Amino acid sequence: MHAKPSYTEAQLIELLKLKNQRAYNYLYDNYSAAIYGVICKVVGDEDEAADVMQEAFIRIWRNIEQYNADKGRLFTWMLNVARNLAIDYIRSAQSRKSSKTESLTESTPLGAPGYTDAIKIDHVGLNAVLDKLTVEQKKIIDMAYFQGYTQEEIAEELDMPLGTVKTRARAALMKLKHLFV
Amino acid sequence: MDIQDYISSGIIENHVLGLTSPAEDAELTRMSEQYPEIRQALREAEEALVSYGVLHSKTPPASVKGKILQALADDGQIHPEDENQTSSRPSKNVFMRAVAIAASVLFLATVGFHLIRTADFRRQISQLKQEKADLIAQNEIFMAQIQETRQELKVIGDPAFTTVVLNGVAGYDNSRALVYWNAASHAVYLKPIDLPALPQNKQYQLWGIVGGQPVNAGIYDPPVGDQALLQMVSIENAEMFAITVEPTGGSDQPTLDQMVVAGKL
Repeated sequence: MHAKPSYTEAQLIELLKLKNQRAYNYLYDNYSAAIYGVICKVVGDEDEAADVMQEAFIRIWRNIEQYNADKGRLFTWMLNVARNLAIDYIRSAQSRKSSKTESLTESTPLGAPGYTDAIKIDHVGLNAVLDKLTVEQKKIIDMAYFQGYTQEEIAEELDMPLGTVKTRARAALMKLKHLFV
Repeated sequence: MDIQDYISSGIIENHVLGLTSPAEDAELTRMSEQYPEIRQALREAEEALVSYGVLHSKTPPASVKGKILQALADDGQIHPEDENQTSSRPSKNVFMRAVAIAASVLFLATVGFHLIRTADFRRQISQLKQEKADLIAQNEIFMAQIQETRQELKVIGDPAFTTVVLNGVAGYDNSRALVYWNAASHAVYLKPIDLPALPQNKQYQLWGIVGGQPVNAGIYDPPVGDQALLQMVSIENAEMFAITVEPTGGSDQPTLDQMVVAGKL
């Protein structure tokens, strides 16, 4: 067996663009948990999430040429590719069956059951962050980030004016920024 | 448009949450390319949201990795031969060669880069060494000057020393020297002031007049710049001091017509 390599983000991007499989393995080993976590959060079902993740990795692999380091970090880009794919997935699934409102309430329980096997440290971190966010702030972030809601949809869902959604979304994100950056 | 107003308008936060219109997105892209502060705020907002996403991390089922690699292989993106995979590895050599070439190129590029950097560092180091040597030399000069000044102050401030002012004789009206003499220890210090420069073969000589007779108190070269106090030959029972111009090496007896300055106690 080879020793586990450790790449800088720039090296990793170079190798990925060369379609280097070891870099791809590295990518999977280091980022799949985060990507899977986000997809699960969007999709709700773990088996479906695994399928969506497969799609996401293929898309990342195919579109790596389109990634532009000037526009942000690789990880941010990958997470967005995966998240958008997952959101598209539930949206098309929803339009096939029930109304969106129903599945939203099902798939965004505040206590996030079904995530019990996430590694413990993340639980600690998540709980600490959730304690700092108001229920409404968390709801706005989750609706926007995990469900791909538009401003109008959030306004309707939470029964508040558009302007309020905008200012509350900002406040919620400022809180996150304060907690993380 | 005011940058701070734009940053605090909420557009950045709404953008990373996907809540902005395509027009607003385009505007933000343009603004962030133009203003580093906006780019920075955008990065921070993205980081914050990504960090929030990462909190939900969840280890995917072990079978998923193999499935994805297989799907990629089927898609023609990769060759199913890495050591982490259990399937057959028909093109291992090709793959390994590609890896080796990529690694070599990367390595050579890195070596080149480091060689250039190293040369740069060497230059900087030698420059710093030179600067350090200069500073040490300068420091030594300062220390020596302080030492001299301290010695001078000690003599001047010591009440046991008598100050004798040696004024210029006729023809040397502007010349002057100070002698500090200690009657108890017989020590003699000289502070030459405004003595003219001498030709190569001449030196100044200090004399103490004792019992009417001149006694050699030492020779010295004409002062250069702001000369410090000079310790001369000790003299007992001095009545007077004088300085004459003598041939280099000094004389046993003063050449009286070459007297420059003189002063009585």
